[in-house]
Amino acid sequence: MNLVASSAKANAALHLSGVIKRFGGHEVVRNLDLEVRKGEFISVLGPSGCGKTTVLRMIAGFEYPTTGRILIDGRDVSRLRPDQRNLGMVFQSYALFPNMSAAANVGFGLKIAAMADRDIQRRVAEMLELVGLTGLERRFPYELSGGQQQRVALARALAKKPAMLLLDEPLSALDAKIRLSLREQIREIQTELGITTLFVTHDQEEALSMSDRVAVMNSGRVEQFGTPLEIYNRPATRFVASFVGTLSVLKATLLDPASGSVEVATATLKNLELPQGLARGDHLSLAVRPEAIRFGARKGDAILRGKVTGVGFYGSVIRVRLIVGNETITIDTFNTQLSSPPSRGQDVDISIDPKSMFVMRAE
Amino acid sequence: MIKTMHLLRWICLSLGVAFFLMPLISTAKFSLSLRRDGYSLDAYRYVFADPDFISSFSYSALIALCTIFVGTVLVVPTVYLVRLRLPWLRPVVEFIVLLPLIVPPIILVFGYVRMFSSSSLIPLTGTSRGSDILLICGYVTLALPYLYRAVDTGLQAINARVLTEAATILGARPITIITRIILPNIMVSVLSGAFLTFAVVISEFVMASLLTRPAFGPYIQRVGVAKAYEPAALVILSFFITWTAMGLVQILARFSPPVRRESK
Amino acid sequence: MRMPRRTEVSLSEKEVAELGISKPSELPITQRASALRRLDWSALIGVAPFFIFALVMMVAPTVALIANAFVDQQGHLTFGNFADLNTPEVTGAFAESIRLSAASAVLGAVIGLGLALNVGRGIGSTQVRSIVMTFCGVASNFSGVPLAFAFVATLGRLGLVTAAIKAAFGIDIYAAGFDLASFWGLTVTYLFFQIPITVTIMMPAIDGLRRDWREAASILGASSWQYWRHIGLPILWPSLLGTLALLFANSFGAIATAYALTGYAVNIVPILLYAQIRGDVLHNENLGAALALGMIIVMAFANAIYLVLRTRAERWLR
Ligand SMILES: Nc1ncnc2c1ncn2[C@@H]1O[C@H](COP(=O)(O)OP(=O)(O)O)[C@@H](O)[C@H]1O
Ligand SMILES: [Mg+2]
Repeated sequence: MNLVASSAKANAALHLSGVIKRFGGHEVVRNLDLEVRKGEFISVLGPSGCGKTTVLRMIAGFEYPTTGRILIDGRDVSRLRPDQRNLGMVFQSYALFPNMSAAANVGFGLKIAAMADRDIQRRVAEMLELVGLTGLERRFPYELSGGQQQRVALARALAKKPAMLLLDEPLSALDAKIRLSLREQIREIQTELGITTLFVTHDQEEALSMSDRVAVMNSGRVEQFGTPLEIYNRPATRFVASFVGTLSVLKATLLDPASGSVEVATATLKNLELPQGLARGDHLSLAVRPEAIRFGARKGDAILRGKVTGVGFYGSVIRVRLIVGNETITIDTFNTQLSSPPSRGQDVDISIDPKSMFVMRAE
Repeated sequence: MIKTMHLLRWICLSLGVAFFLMPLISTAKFSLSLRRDGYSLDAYRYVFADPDFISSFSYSALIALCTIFVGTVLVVPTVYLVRLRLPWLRPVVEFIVLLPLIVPPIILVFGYVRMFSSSSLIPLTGTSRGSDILLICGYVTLALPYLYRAVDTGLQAINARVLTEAATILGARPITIITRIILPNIMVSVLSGAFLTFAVVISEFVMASLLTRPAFGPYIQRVGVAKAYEPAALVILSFFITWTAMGLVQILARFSPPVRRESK
Repeated sequence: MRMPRRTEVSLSEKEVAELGISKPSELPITQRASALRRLDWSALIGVAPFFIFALVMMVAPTVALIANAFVDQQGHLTFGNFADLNTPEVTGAFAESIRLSAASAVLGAVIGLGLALNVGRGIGSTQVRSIVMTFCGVASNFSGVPLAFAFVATLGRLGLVTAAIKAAFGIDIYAAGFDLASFWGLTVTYLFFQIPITVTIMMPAIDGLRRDWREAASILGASSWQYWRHIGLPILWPSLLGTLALLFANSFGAIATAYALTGYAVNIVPILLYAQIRGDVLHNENLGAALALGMIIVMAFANAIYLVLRTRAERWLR
């Protein structure tokens, strides 16, 4: 083992360095570097097929990296078998053993570790209480609902006090309501135990609401690794910006790089923060989040005029679509009882704070 | 270590293959060895020249076709109606279809011989036409599980309920629905059930023998007792028939639509 | 040609359920009672031929036969037939049949499971697998008289393998006590269909073993052996026991292979029954019926075990 490396990363619970995974000739994970601190809740977020599961399976030991190293608590585990890594894992399909009761499922890892029966019983009771399933010890998996099964799976993964908890889309197979409550419960338990957790999901809302930090993946690469706030407010790449949250994009032409003024459809916007190296006449894309747009003309903001094409009601939020020039823009506004949303076909003014726009070179 | 495991696996598989191929190879070799001076097709020539072969084989083939026809006519409407309109009868039908597992052919035919003897109310065993009918009925019983399974999965796969509702809305009558819509759509399943039935029935021995029918199974048995090389040729032929029928079932399976769950 | 998709023709099942439209098959009990009063007569007429056939050609002959077992030759009710069955010949036949069925079932299930695991799991080749499955489909239907003669050509006195063993090892298996027309000869021959039946039944069960279970076990610290001991085999167990029962019943009722191979040399129940039907060797017609009833009881018992265990296996693997 490399002592220098291990001492330098002593406080990292998980460290991936230069990890590449090829299946046949196809490179599924490309040169991945990732460092997770002890006790952190990390989400790996990305569209399906981008390699999230493969990363998780390499950490678990079901696949070996083609090149690169995986350190857990400073120990190089790259070539160890799964049963030598002391990890807990929760699968999308629950993967409960169908021939065992809930209690036997939770106690399985302890039994394999040759723990005394009495201790196993105590620990199992403790774990089932933690996930709120006391009283269902003797039920078999086919007698439990999806949410209950997944909680048994969580208890099973945690029973052995693993060094780290891995979850691969654990909520995807569940109903919307249960998904929400279980999401909160998982985070609560994680905080209570202080266990380092890696949570794989394709659902940005899940990732943003649960995690300390989010790694956004796209075709085998981590495009951005940061707090949910950073990911949402300061997306590092075009992909992150478009994958996380909704974006409306307007085409624009640069008028004056010095003052940051650009021409959009019918209006001229000033005081934009521009990327370096742009020249007059360059074509740009202005991206803006739906909640950064207000109705009405406000001083100091960029003001545009458009026609309403659709109004969607989402409870606390009302989502309005309108056309500005040739572009469609999405606007979220809070459903306060005072305001009445615009109706279809109406012409309205909207204001955008220039600071909330992402300016990118047009493709 | 992993390499040896792999090698071991292939060795086990090879042993299995040998066990299953040796009888076929031996029989094939035997069937070609009628002449002392080398391999020849003489055994096959003698078999084909035997009028009893022709008559017994065509008799069994005809009986098999009758079995398939009667079986289909009995099973298709029943499975269809039970699926759509009489679901409460389903357990009963499932039980009837399982009966042949509990009552083997020899017992069934024993019952036939008793119940339809020449001194009974319906003296079917008294005439050869009557015995033919009994044989067909016995074979239909044998084929019931195969036909039922095939048709049932077929109906499930095409989502018969939706098809029927659609056709009813368009004004089709029940008979029209079965013959014009359901049957063509489950033709593949019915055919594969039919081939399976053919394979099972063509060289059946016990029923034909106890009903003293001039069928192919008893014929092979008689030749086997009397001759040395001809039975080998007959075995190869019969294996060839089974193989063809089952091969057709496999090919048909490719054409059938994927199973879609109808309930839940 | 592929079947055209038809689901879009009407509401899907799920949509129907969501709209709260209940289908006839899912009526609650109280409504079903009134539905019974309004019987679907046209549908009942449609299924009548099937039920008449089942009644006349399946149930009635069997019931009549069973009834005969309780009647003496003068037509009086009696249990004497069963007492009369207690002869060395009959009890010997049952013992031999049970031994033969048990041996061929156990060997067939164990070897078949090994083969299925090997092909389904070990050798990860879909081509090998599909060839094996196709072959098993054929071989499990290749029984009876042709099978017997194929084995005569293989392991008979003049069989190819008999001669090959003699040539290669200098052992005359017949001199060493082997005989195709004996217990072990029959067992080996029966394996030719017992093994493929096992493979065709067990393969779906083996496919039902999900990769997740294996991985979940291994990350909880279990070795490959511990996985099979605690999860893999216990999950396969009901299917395997069920298969065992089915194989047992299958060989218990089989006669053609045994008859073609041994004539009357091996004393097993179906051959005894065959002789009885042909020539009344027991000299009492109703004794034959009692014999048949004994056979039905054994078969029904074995099949009941099979069905119960299959239900359990399906519940687990859903
Ligand atoms: N065992 C494998 N062999 C070959 N390709 C694989 C294998 N596992 C995954 N892949 C491929 O790797 C890519 C990433 O898969 P995966 O990690 O499952 O993505 P995600 O979990 O993000 O949806 C996919 O294109 C998939 O087809
Ligand atoms: Mg995945």
